[in-house]
Amino acid sequence: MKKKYIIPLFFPLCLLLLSFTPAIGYTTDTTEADAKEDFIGAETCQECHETQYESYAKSVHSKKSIKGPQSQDACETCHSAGAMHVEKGGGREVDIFAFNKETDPQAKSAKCLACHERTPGMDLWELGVHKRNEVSCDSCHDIHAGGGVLKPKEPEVCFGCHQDIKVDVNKRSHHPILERKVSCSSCHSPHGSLSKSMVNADDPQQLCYRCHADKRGPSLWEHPPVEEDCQSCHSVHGSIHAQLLNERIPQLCQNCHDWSRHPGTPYDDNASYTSRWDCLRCHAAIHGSNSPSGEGVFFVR
Amino acid sequence: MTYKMPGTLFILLLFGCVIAAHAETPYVEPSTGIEFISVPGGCYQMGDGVGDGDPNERPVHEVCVSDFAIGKSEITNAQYQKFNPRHDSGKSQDSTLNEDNQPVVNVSWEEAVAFSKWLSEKSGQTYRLPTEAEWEYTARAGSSQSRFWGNNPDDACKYANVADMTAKKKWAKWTSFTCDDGYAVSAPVSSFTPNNYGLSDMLGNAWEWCEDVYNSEAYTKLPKENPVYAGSGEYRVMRGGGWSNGPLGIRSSHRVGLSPDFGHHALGFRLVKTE
Repeated sequence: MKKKYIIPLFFPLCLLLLSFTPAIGYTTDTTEADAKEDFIGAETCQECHETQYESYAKSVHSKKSIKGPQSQDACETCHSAGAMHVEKGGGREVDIFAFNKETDPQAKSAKCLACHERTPGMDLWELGVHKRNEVSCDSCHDIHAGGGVLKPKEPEVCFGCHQDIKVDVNKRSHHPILERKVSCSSCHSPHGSLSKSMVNADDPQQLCYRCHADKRGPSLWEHPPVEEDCQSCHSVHGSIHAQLLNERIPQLCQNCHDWSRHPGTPYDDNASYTSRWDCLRCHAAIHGSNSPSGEGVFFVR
Repeated sequence: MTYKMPGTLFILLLFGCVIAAHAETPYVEPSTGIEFISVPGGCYQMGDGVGDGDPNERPVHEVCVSDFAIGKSEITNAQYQKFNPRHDSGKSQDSTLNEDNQPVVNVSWEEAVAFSKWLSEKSGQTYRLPTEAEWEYTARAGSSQSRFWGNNPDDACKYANVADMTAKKKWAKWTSFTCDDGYAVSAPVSSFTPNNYGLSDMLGNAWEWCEDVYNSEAYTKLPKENPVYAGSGEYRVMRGGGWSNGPLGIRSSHRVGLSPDFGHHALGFRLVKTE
């Protein structure tokens, strides 16, 4: 073909190609539309599952303004297309994706993550202990919850699995979890964390300092366990000993400190370090002292 | 020989007349008007022998049931309201389900059992829900095909009230039969051609609760004679399909498990009477 014909033919050819573009788009839409034929709509689901539907209708998931089920395929966004389920007369797990105990937890979570993968706080879900232990989103969240409240009720939901912690927080000295002054998620990140026990900080020490800033220091005289790990002396959820201590004083102190100087036995008939004269009576600045005198090293008053 | 043959024929004819008379005269429960048809015991192949069912309908296996009588039709609203006058079967898309002669729906398994106990105490007879084996035996009425009228779903509208072209006008997205039975929702009981036992609506109109606890593998666990699954399980069995179901749900071997405290717009029951 001669060059002089190429240029005049180029533009008509381009136009011809462009004219096919909508047709290609239309074909894709038709395929999607065909796939949607198996979707029967929320009003059909409602016929049998009225309670769930009413609850869902009050939840944030039903708001059209968010990129959620209501703005997509409503119930079938999470439960998959329902035509065959309806044709067969329903029944749990009959040709429908059900969020049952028997359903693969990864598959259940995948349904939620389709929208919530980028939700703040979900970045570390894949690395979290909950995922590794086959905890799925619906283990804690009621996705049909009415009133727009999908957040789990703490600490009850957590205690469902963490019974040992429930025991601890019921001990006489405990973090005010039952009093609802702090919640589990005040310290833990249930959607995943890089730190041990999925706490909200890279270093558990820093987590404690968020509330107990007065213990942070720096002090002129540091008590090494305070810098290293609060849990050297404290049981964070609760303890039978005062101040959430791991052990009774003076035994706790004597785990590290030579007891020969201050024996844990009575000096005389009226006094002992196990009752009236415990260590903290004199070593009151146990988390660190700023005393200018050399006595500060003993964390005394 | 010439003397004996007429005698034998006479006895056979007499026997046939007795059976025919017995079969054609349903027992009518006096206080509710529920009609019961006697069904002679027998053996049949229970389960999906056609190949259009779910795994829980297999393996096909031989089951034998004893004589019993079963309701000619599903319990109606009027009959159920003699037990619970406040019951309302409700409506669906503005179509009532609560006419006297429509099947009672929106009843749980627990309510169906309570009705049978109430009727038993009231009448001095023994009424209960059918077992799955009894239900399928009477639904098949001697047939071994998907439906008592055959395998062709297009014949459905002569025999059963199903999701059809009338229903399609209201619920366009449903998978429906291609025929027209004339009813969008439940029809008055016995509006369609009965099966060979004279039983109406064994398929379609309303699902029917059965006595059995639902177990997807029940067919591998039960004895041949009068089987009923009474093991542990969350659900009870419902059978028969209803007015809102398409071809896959309207089959003699189709079985679904539902929570016993659950009821819906197309779920009712019928009773059996035993001696």
